[in-house]
This record gives sequence, structure tokens and C-alpha cells, in this order.
Amino acid sequence: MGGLSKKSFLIKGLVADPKQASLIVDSGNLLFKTDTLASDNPETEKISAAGVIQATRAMGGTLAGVGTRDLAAGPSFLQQHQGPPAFTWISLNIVDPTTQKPLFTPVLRRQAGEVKIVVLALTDHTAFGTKPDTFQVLNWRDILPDALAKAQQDADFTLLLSNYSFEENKEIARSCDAIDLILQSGHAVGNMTPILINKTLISQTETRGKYLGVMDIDWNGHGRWSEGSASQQTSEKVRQQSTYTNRFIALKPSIPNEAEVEALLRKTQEMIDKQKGQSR
Amino acid sequence: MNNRRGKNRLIHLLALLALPILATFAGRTVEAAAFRLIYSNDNLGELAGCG
Repeated sequence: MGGLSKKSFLIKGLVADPKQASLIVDSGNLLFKTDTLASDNPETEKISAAGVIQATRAMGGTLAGVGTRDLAAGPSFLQQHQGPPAFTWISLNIVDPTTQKPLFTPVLRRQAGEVKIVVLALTDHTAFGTKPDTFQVLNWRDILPDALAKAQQDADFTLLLSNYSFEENKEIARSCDAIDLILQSGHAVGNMTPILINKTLISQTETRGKYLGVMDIDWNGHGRWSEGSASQQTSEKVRQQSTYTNRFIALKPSIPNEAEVEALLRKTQEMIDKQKGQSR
Repeated sequence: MNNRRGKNRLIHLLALLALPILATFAGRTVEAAAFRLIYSNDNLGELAGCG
């Protein structure tokens, strides 16, 4: 089947060293190709999406930001397919239109080795042509600054999963000093090597599961980033900065398929075929 | 009189010794802690997409 089973093979290799703390992150638009389900056979898309979530969990993924396309089957579909703490959908700005309360986990805390990471996610509020009935997406300007001030407490590293465009993310980075890293979704134009805006790195991978991003970080506290591993740094001033190395790994056909995820994908494909047969 | 002056000198000396130690630890809540982020985006429902 390829794709997710090759991704799983790579991830299991990357997390194999117990001394290397790691966190697997999906920044959004994991499940559907478009913002709405295909009218001819929406059930097959839901079966496929459920298979993607199962595969993501099997390879060690525990969280994902909610992108606009993840909402193609409605918020209830995502709520049915999560089970915190095993897997959590995160969005700070999707709220119930009546109560204004978040429909998903707004802020999530994770530990990677010694580093306390706080993860926030934003869904692009500008992407909805018609106002949805079942949810409302707030403008980040109205909600992010206060949420960051609270989230930062007792956290070493602040990660934002953002479904906004690069232009919007640059504005977020310039106006919110506290964010250390923004991982984008929804506006991909290929792999984007990390770009430093103010104190924030911004990065993303190519679409459709073609690449995996790997960022190795030597965290020395909020405020200053420098590219290259800590061991490569020579001057004392640079050694005091946080450093990173980033690479994008192509999911080439030659990469082996990981057995557990491969079996899950075969089962999902069988269910899709059966559903297609029933709907003919 | 001499005793009091001696005590003051001792306090000043201890404070001088303690300051650099405190300053060192103040900036070291997390020092070069290494971790790896494995990330992706926009899978768009792909089960079998390859690079």
C-alpha cells in the first residue's frame, strides 16, 4: 500500500533510540482532500479518514491540529475519532456558536525528555465561505494572546500548529513573542525550510504524505535560535542559543512498509471496496 | 566593635561567593535539553502517497 506504512517504518526508526526524546506532530489537514465530502460516496471518505487516524495512532502519533479540511465530515466526526490522552485533536479557536466554548482541546501539554512542551493549534477562520451551523471559528487576534499568556506558565517550549497562511503566520510570529515554533498546514507549496521570524521558526512539509519533517532541537531556553547542532557551535555566545537541524525525508517507494500499519491499511481498503460495492 | 566588623566582613564575603552561583543557576531551568520533533501536514486523506 505504501504511504502511511512507509511513514510508520521511518518513524519507528527515528524513535528507536530510548535516549532520544521525541514528539510526533501532525499540524493539520490529515483526513480529507477537500473542505466538503464528495456527494457521490461520502461514506468511503469517512472509512478512509478513520483508517488514517488508526494508522497515525499505530505509528505513535498522539495529537493533530484541526485543519479546515479535517472538518469536511463535521466536528462530530473528529470528536468520535479521538480518545484523549491516546489521541487528541487540538484547536484553540473552533467554538460552539452558542456557548463560545471550545469544541476541541484548546491547549495540550507534552513532555519530551526534560522539556515541557505546550502545544496550541489554530484553524484558519478565513477559509469558510459560508458560515457553518455547527461550529464557529474565531479570529486568532481575539483569542491567541490571552491563551498564550496562560499556556506559557510552566512550559519550556511553545509550539503552535497553524492552519493559517504563511503571511498570517508571519504576523502571528511578529505579534506573539512567546511562540518558539509554528508548524503550518493548509497552504503548503512544497517543503519549507525553517524560516526565522522574530523569535519564531516557521516550517512545513510537502502535501499528501510525500515527506516527513525531522527537527532535532538542543533547547537552551526561549528567545534565540541558531541553525546547526549544539556540538557544532564554537563561540560561547552561540552555545547559549537554542539550536536546530532540520531535514525532510522523502517517503520513497524503496522504503519498506511497516507491518502493523500495512495491515490496518489493507483492512481499510477492503472496507472501502465493500462500501463501494454496496453503493453501486 | 571588632567582632561586629568581622561578622559584617563575613556576610559580605558569603554574599560575594553566593552571587555568581545564584546567577549561574537562575538561567538554567533548561540547559541544552535535546529533543526531536517528527512532523507532517496536509496528508489529505492519503493512505498510500509516496515522495
